[in-house]
Amino acid sequence: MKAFYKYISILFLILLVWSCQETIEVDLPQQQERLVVDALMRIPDSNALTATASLRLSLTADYFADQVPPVDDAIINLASESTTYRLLSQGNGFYSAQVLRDEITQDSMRLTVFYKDEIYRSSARYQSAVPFDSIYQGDGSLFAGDETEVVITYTDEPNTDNSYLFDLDKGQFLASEDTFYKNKSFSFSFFYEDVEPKDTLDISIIGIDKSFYDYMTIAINQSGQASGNPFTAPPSEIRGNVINTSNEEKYPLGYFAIGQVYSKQLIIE
Amino acid sequence: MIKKYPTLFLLLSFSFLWSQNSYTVSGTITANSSNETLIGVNIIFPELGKGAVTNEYGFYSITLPEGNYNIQVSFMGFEPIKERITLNKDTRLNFSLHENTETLDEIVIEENIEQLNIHKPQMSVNALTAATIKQIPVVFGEADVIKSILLLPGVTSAGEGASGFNVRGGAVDQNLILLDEAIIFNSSHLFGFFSVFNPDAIKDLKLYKGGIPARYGGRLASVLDIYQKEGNSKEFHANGGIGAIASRLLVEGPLIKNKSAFLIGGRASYAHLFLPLFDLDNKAYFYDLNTKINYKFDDNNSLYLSGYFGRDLFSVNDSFVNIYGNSTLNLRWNHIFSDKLFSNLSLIYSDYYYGLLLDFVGFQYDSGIRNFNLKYDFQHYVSQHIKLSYGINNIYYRFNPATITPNSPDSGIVASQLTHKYANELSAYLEAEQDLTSELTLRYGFRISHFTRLGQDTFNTYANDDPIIFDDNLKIYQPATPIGVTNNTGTLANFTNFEPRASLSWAFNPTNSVKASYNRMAQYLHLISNTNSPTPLDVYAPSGPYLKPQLLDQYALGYFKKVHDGEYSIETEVFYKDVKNRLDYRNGAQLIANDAIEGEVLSGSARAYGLEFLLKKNDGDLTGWLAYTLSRSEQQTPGRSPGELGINNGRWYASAYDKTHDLSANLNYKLNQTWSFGANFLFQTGQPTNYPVSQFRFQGLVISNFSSRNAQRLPAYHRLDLSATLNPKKNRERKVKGEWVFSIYNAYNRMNAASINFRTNEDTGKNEAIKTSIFGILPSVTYNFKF
Repeated sequence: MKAFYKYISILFLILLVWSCQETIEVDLPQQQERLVVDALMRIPDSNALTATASLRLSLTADYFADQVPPVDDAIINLASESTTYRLLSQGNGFYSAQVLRDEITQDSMRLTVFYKDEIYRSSARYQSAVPFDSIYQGDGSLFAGDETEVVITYTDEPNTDNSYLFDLDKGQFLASEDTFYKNKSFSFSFFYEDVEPKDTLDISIIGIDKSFYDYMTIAINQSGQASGNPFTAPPSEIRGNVINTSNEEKYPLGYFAIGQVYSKQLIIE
Repeated sequence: MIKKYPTLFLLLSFSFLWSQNSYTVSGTITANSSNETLIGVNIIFPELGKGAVTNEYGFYSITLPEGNYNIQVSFMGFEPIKERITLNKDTRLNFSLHENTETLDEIVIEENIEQLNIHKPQMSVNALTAATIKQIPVVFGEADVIKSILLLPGVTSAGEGASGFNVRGGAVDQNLILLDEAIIFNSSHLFGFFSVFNPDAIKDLKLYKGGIPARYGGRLASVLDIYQKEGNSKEFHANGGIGAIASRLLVEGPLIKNKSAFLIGGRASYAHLFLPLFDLDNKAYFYDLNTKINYKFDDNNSLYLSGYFGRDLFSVNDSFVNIYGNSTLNLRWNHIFSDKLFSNLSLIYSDYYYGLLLDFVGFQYDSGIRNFNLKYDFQHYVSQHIKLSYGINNIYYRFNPATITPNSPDSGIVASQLTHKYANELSAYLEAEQDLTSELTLRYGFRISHFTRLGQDTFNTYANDDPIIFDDNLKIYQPATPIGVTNNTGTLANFTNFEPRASLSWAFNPTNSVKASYNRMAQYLHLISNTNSPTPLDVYAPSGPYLKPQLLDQYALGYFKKVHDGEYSIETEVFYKDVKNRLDYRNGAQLIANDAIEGEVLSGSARAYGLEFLLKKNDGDLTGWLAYTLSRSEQQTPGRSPGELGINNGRWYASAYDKTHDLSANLNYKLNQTWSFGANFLFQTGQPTNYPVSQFRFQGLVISNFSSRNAQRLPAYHRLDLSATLNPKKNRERKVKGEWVFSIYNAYNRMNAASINFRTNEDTGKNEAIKTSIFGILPSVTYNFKF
């Protein structure tokens, strides 16, 4: 239902008919550098015995900086109830390892990061998703008239409370809870602003839990194009589920989650 | 029902002793042209230096020793009446005042009138007449109630395009807004560009910011009490206006001459307001309708039926339709029991509706709040030194947090109804206004309010009765999972609050007074809103087992001075407010269509303090005021146990409506019979906002990270508005009188920041800060007419 605010933002856009926007210089407050753990491990369905567990480490940067510094000199362990895997650096902050599929989909997985003499920990459990029923291009538009409509349909996993994360490509994410479509086939339209014919969209649905749903809701609101209009909640600090066990004050950002993923491609006409 | 307190009783009996050999003069004062009752008319007895003021229904009563007196009746814009009366029995004197056909500046302001205000213990109140509101230049040239009160000291708003208003550092939901005594929940059209009140239909309004009389309750920060006109029971009249954005028409006239009148007023904006800018089927408009019928049975009995209906509609391609608005209906019976006892009984229904159709997600969303309100108020003019007000009030509320309906058979949405909530608020009050000496006037009393949260279909229960838990590991608040659901048909919670009110006026000489006041208020409804500016879709939640009522204590002290026989007045006040149980929201709170709001909120405190200064020029060709407020408004939500962080790490932080400096000036100059000019100037400290302290990447998203709340501010807000009104000479002979209002909003085109957003530029991939300004310079023309 967070989507509501998005629609309220549309109303605000209507009001902006009279408004004017300009880029300005702003002096920003500074905060200490923090480690960022980007560990949403997407596990596709497969008959293989193993699955890839990967994550990315980086540091926070000044808001106007062009890049965030990657972290390649950390040591990372991922432990199931029976095995401890070492994730190896792949450069540019990426680390990965092959892990037994049965373990990562069934065990509570513990993540440990050793970085600059401090130890960061988290744990997560695999969340299932559902496949898409269909994805097709619609001919509707929303507001400016030149958006591309994509209609996404899926059927909610029965008899449980579910949350889903959609990776819609083009840097667009959407988090959804099944509160109002439990056990039903549900479809919604997403409107892309900058896609051209022949573009390929890689669209994924990922199973997530309620806490990660909350996290992604804030993260999406405070990301990229999120317009801080008067009708959005005041932005806040975004605490994830990774903790610094050595020094509580230097808490890291980011999240550790494991989710089943289904993906589909759509070529825009 | 009404408890008698020993001290009060003593004071009362003391004053009864004084009332011997005295007689009462009472009556109703009306305008001769329309029989419309007049509010705030001064009835003066110069020999005694005493007087009375008419109440909201035009009634006055004063008790004086036997004797022969001059009586003066005067009201701005009307010819004063002077008579000699012999008072040897209780006397009913109704006056009908003639409108002043000469120019305003010929009215002589009687010195005694001003003394009355100096004497009155009521402080922290601002009154505006419809005439004043219409003189103030505003955006699009549409006279506007809320925009006018924003020019008063201690009143601010979140800016252009923001709903509501903030009084003395209070939140938008802490204002009690009454339209003919009916509660209005959302005061804005088009997200705050217009207020819901049609200025043509309004007779009088008062804004109480402090020292709030005991007859008002249920909100913490202020009372905006608006009375609509009753309708002309002598002649048919119509007036209206054609503006750049909206047009309006008001018709009034007798149903039975001198006995009964009707009034009907409508306003509508042009439907395709925004259409030219987009090649789409968009609609955005509002309309409202004010109606009133009155019937005067005799001198002692009058009946009023009034109604209001307003709606806003936005629609984009019919796939997104948003409708919201207020409606009220109320029936009032004025009965004068005796020369000394005036009563008003009101039966009021009001509701607020919000509906949203999202076709592309496949559902319709409806929410609302409905209330039935019964009020019985008495004004008892006991003796020449004491006046009592007392009454009872019962409000029954029904809340619909959300109804979700699929919009078509193939929508995947399951129809759902969030649990309706029910509550009842019963209150009673007693207040006395007493002249202790000729210098010292005291008003003291109390209100007792009793709020019952009634049973509902399903009610969540939690472990340790705690709906929100702090994860000590992750340092975040999360909603608790309910351990059970009860179906409660009885009562879920009861709250009783004793709300003492007191004010004192010490008029140590005829032109100077010092006033002090204290008021406690209880508010049982909470606006569930986590945004800088409330949105129409915010819902109200009643207090209950998990939400405690908000409580306020306010102290104010003021110095009031009249200069030059009241040509100028100076009002200076300081105030301090302390609020308990102010809600705050966990980071990432989900407030829309959430059946368990209690898991998203924490209870904290708020406080505000400040200094207000108001210099007014009351008469002459040049009138107007200069208002300045220096204030601070903060809130704090500490952790509930030592390990908890609270919100903003438990530290005090500036509320979203904290404005350190707030300066406003309003000037009106009448050049001649044909031309008059108006100007406003506003300067305000920028409102608190949040700037990112860093960025990080997650799944390719560039995410801004923030730290303490509201630690930065937008640039200062200032602007100048100008207006000129042309009243053509030929009007004087015409039956239909026309008037042109030319206005320029934001005359020097200041691009005030409505917000500063941070985003990643799609083309360059770089992060940037974007300032959004809503209105630059905006000229407009409105044509008003009446006949």
